[in-house]
Amino acid sequence: MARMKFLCDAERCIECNACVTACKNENEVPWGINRRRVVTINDGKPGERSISVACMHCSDAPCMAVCPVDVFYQTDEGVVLHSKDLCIGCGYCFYACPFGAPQFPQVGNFGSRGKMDKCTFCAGGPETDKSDVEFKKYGRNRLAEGKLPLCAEMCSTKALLAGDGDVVSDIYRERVVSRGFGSGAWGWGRAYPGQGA
Amino acid sequence: MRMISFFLILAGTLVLAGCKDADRPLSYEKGVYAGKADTKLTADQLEALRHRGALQRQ
Repeated sequence: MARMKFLCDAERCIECNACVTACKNENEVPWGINRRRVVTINDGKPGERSISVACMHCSDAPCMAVCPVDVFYQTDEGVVLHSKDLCIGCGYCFYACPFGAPQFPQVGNFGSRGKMDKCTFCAGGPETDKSDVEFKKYGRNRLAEGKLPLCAEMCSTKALLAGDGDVVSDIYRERVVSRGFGSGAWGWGRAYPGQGA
Repeated sequence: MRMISFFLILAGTLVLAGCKDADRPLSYEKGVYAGKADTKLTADQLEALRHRGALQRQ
């Protein structure tokens, strides 16, 4: 199996925010924490584009590189997970992450930071699979149930894809070919100028 | 005086006994995860995930 990956198709995302809601509901994410969010550019103008962003489970994750207490680990499927028992809430991972994925709950009246929380690809954490402790700390472990992250599974336009990188790329490649105007991926033109949209 | 000393020593012992950071690694090797090990997915679970991934094709 290839690495688990998310891919958001900007041509299909309609900024409904259902992925955000599904994530919060499925994982009972606390108030003030957003593991996933929808980002829109050129809102209300020509060229408006939206994509759903969360932890991208990077192959060479910057959060892992900067963490002073090594709370992160990667599963065999390439999902970047962390241990809340080890986290000291320093916030280095938040500065390192290019997607703003790490979130910190407020734990005191003076704004002190709690343990880091982020998207787990619905894979829970290091606690026993499908246990109450795992659910309370990290949310639902859908991968152990043979299910993909809920944000992607319930996306009405199938803009947000998740799963085995080979499968996801096959699906996206088929879409690109059938559209006939290039990838349509947000940022493609900037990354590869002069090579289509 | 002896009584006060006794209670001071007792209080000190109790306070120091609370200075324990249970289940937390206190020495780190850079880049090595020292927490609990995660459970690996079985072949059946991976097959189910691959199948569900393909269902997104629409």
